Amino acid sequence: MTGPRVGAGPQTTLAENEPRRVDIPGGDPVAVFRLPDGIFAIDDTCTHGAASLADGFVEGDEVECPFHAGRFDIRTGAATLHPCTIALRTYPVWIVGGDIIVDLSARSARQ
Amino acid sequence: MTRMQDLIGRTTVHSRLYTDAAIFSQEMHRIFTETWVFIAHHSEIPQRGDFIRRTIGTEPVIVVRTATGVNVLANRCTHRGNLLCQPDHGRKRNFACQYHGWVFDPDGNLVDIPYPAGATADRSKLGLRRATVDTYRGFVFATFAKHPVPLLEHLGNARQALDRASDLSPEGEIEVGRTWVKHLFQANWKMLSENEADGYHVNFVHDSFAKGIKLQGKYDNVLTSEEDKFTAVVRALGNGHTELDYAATYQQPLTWLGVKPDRYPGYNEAMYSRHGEERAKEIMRAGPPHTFIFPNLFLAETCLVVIQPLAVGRTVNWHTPMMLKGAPHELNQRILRQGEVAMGPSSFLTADDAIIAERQWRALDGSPGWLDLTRGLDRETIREDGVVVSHYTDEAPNRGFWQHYLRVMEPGAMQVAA
Amino acid sequence: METLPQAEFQTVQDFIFLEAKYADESRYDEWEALLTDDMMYRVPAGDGHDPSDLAPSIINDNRSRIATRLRQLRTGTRHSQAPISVMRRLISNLTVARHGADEYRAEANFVVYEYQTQSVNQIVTWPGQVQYALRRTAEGLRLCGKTVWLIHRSGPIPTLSFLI
Repeated sequence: MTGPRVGAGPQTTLAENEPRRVDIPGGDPVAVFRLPDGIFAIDDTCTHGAASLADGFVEGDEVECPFHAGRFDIRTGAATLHPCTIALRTYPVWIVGGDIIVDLSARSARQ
Repeated sequence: MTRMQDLIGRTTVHSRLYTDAAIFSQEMHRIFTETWVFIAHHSEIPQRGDFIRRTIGTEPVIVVRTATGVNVLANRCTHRGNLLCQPDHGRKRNFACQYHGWVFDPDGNLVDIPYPAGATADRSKLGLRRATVDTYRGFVFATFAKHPVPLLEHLGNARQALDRASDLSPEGEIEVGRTWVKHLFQANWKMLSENEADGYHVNFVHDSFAKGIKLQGKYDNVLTSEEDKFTAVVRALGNGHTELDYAATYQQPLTWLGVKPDRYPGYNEAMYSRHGEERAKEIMRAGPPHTFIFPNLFLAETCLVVIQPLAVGRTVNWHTPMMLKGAPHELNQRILRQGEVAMGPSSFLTADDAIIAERQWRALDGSPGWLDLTRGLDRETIREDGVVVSHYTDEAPNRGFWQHYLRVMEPGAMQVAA
Repeated sequence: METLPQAEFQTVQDFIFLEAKYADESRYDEWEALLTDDMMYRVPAGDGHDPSDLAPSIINDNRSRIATRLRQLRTGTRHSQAPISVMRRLISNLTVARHGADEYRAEANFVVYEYQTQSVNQIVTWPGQVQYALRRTAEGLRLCGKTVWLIHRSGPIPTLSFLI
């Protein structure tokens, strides 16, 4: 893996239903989520307002924004419930030596 | 507008104080907004994000637990005035208005305006109105006053009543659950306040209780018809606070609860351990307070009671049992059962107090005039700390309540001799 | 669920209407005679679903407390029922099912119209759902449980010292 990346802490302490926000100096924060089949990373800032999705509620495969209760798919970043309509960017996640690494260079394009 | 000092004398008040809507509005401002009011017990909002809805006077507020303490926020969006938080209780990270989606954090800061390109408002000036909050022994008080006196100064000699309630718990704290019973009185809030330290009415309003209920020990003393046999007393504590004290009527620990002293050995041990045996026995003998804390809190022995004014002739009396943290479950169940006797719309006691207050309100509304509060004037005792103590049936508490009321409603009023 | 034979349903309904009549007319002695020794009379408060057994109720009477309540009412000096409220209640949507060998469970909707003349001199309405537990005894049907779910139990309610 080359290019910009950010560490998101040890993978053993990331619980389901407890997403973790990762601040990026000079950039937009990302949020990491544990689902039954793996760890996923998406933009932390909701596309509808200034909310932090790491403060949101995980419902199955989706995260609910704590401001207006819109939803996003954690795996794909797609906006799945009004009032959210613009998708989040997603980032590949690697586990290196027990730590979560988020690859910032390869992100899915906004739809 | 008539001046307060023309309606309040040392031993008399005018009925308009109970029936005039303009005076009620003034009270909501001068008393409920500008002085300390009781808002909640902190056990009602134990976890971060927990919130409940309450009122300060008639103003709806949100009471929310944050990482650093408890906030009391006006429950009104600063945009166009919608009620910000509708649910009665819950857990939230933010409060989003359902009208235009403005979002406020638990400190009252405006943190989001939808469709921001069109927003010209200065968010820093649009935070929610926030009260000053202070807590004593877990009892949370709030005020919207800009420069309130310290809470302990407001509590004054009533602080010992909060201690008295809390010290009965082996952990030094009462706790309450999430259910409150709400009893509607079609009467003025001050009629409830004044009834809390009224010993004179007990034999008459609660005549059916005396006749019908078989309760040994607890009420024998105050249901006597012999004036010199009363050992319970009433007190005007200053700052509008008043109380009845039954301590002198209890011979043994836990008589107040209607049980023998050795009924809960684990509880006794825990109390001896905390206070030392002698002090613990005295705490358990004297029992809980029966104290009114101005303007809206009543420690009703086994229940926490809040007086909520709705309008000049409508008031809600809220109550919930005051559990003792760390006490055995059976003891708290007994507290619940005892509370059911006294408080609520179907209770053996307060149901009848409500009817009397409603009759009183209607009679005064239709037939205004001056009331008589002279009883016991020549036999009250004033302690060194300023507390006025008198016979159980005397009206020192009423006089003390009204003197404080006058000071708060009309600062600088000249006191008129009776 | 098996449908109860019409005659059996009728017997239960007749009893429920009789209990309602005694309550409407504040006939304390006759009402009390309908109760079993293990009768529980409840009117929950709040949303009614507080799981804590330390939650307060509007009424939470075992048989002994019911006796006390009626003794207090019979003195005639319980101001909240002096004079006695004039009342009529309507009961409908009644469903009845057998419960074990000798009991029934019934549910109905109700509204009590109370003419409150002790203080406010107004008609006060009390709508809700009532749940009955009934038992067949040698003397006939008896009431062993009554739980009343007022629709406004989570809000402020006025004095309620009659038999609801």
